[in-house]
This record gives sequence, C-alpha cells and structure tokens, in this order.
Amino acid sequence: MRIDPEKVYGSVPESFSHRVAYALRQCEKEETKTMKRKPVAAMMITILLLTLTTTAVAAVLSRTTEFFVFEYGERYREKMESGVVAPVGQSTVLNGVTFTLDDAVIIQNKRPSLPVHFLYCRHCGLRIVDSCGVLSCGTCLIVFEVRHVYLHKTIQHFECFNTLIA
Amino acid sequence: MTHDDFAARIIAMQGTLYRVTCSILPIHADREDAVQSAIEKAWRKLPSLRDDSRLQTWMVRILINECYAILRQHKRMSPVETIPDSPAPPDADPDLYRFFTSLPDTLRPAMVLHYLEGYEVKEIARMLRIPAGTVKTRLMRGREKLKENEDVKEALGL
Repeated sequence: MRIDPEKVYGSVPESFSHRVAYALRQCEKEETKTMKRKPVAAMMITILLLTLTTTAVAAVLSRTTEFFVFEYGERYREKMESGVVAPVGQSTVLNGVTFTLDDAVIIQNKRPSLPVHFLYCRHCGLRIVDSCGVLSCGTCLIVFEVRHVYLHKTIQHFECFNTLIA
Repeated sequence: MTHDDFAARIIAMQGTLYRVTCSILPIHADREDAVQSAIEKAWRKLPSLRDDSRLQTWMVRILINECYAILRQHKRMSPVETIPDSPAPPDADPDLYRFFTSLPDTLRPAMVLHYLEGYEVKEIARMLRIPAGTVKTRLMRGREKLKENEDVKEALGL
C-alpha cells in the first residue's frame, strides 16, 4: 500500500523551497570562499614551514658546533663551520681513540644504529665524528656518527678493536 | 559531484525532505531550519559519501538527525504558551492529515518513510538507527491505528 504523499502533507510550501534554494546558494558561496582561501592558506603554510625548518636547522647546527668546540677545543669551530669532507676509511684520533669513518648504514632513509647506540651509551662516553662521509658511489653525505666504546679497554687494546669503532 | 549536480538532486528530493521534517517537527519554521542545516552539513561532508546513488538515503538520515537535534534544543526551553495545531494544508486530505499528525511521535517517521516515501524496512532502520524488527513493529502498530480509523480507510478507498 502506498499513500499519495501530497494527500497527507500537501505540496511543498513555497517558503520551504525558498529555504532549500537559499541553503544551496550558501553552499556554493562556501565553496567559492574555500577555493579562494586555498592558495593563500597554502602560501602561509609554506612560509611557516620554511621559517620553522630554517630555525630548526640553525639551532641544530649552532648546538652541534658548540658541542664539538666544548669537547675538542676551539680549533673545531673553524673545522665545523667550514665543513670538512673526509673520505670513507679515514681515521681520526680524538682523545687517544682512533675513529674511522665508515659507510653510513642507511635503511629506508634512516640510520637504524643511532638510537641503539644512544640506548646502550647511557653509562658510556659518547664519541662523535664530525665530518662528511663519501659513499662508495661517490655521493657526499653528512655523517654524524655517534658511537661508543662498548668493550672493555683491555680487550679493545688486546684485539685492536679501537680502530674499528666509529 | 559538482555543486550543480548536488543542487539538482536536492531540489528533486525536496518533497521527501519536507515530509520527513513534517513527520518529526510540528513547527514549520523549525522544518526550514532543519533542512537548511542538513543541506549545509551534507555539502560539507559530501566527500565522505562513497556511493552517489545513496545520496537521498544519506541526506534523509542527516535531516532526521537535524530534526532530532532541534527537538532536543526545544526540550531545554520552557514554552510561554502552547502552539495550536496547524490546520491541514489546502491541497491535502484533512482526514489523512489529521490521522498522520495524531500518530505517536515514535510511529510517525516510520509510517511516513514507508507508506508515503516508499522506503524499505531495512532502509528505514538505517535512517532511524533502530533495528529492522522495531521498524516492523512500528509499522504494524501504525497499520492497526489506520484500520481503526474509518475516515482514513474511506479516504484511502479501503
């Protein structure tokens, strides 16, 4: 059984139709406003992101330089600021420990070993190698190797492991 | 879906939208507020609609939600005076109009959606967010009331 709807509530009143039309016009205006707003919003977001990135990079760079200057003396400031490029395999002696630059292990654009080292290093002395590494393919890569000596010193010296670290 | 397509489909279904509001809201001004709010909400959430063919069912569900939201707002207000029952529209059958307006609030939306708009029980259950069994019960009670009313039976030619 189906009842004729107009017999129950009559035809749609004109005021109701006007309100529907008004609501649809409002939707159209909203759409136009959103479309106009989009480029401005995109520009603002880009500017904001650029500012944040620049600030973050500047902060990180200055802190890194200060760290090396504090750890290894004023001569590192110039070295850090000028950016020294060291080929893979080059050894550096810092505080009596030999550090050798190795190929950076990168898996899915991440350095998986880094957090592990930080985790193990809670009670050990951190060593940071400041340089750029040159990968075997020839690409220059900024290397911030944070490593630590996790073997007993006697074993290190006995087995000559100190050269393998870093 | 472009705005023009959306507008065309909303205009085509405005009769259904009007009767859905009538089944829940007794005051005409509230019906207009509900439909405006529902259309604006539907337009904003249109990208979340996966299947365009379900626009009408989806729209009716949004409208029902809006109508109940308005009813909830009214519950918080204390009326200064009672509003008299609105007379039947000039082109409507007065007996049928009286019958539908006198139905309990719980039965009316299901009766309107099924007998006037032709929706299936499952669709009504989805729109009203109630089990299909409850919809069937409500329709059965509505039918019983209809059978009791001789004027309505006569108007429907039963």
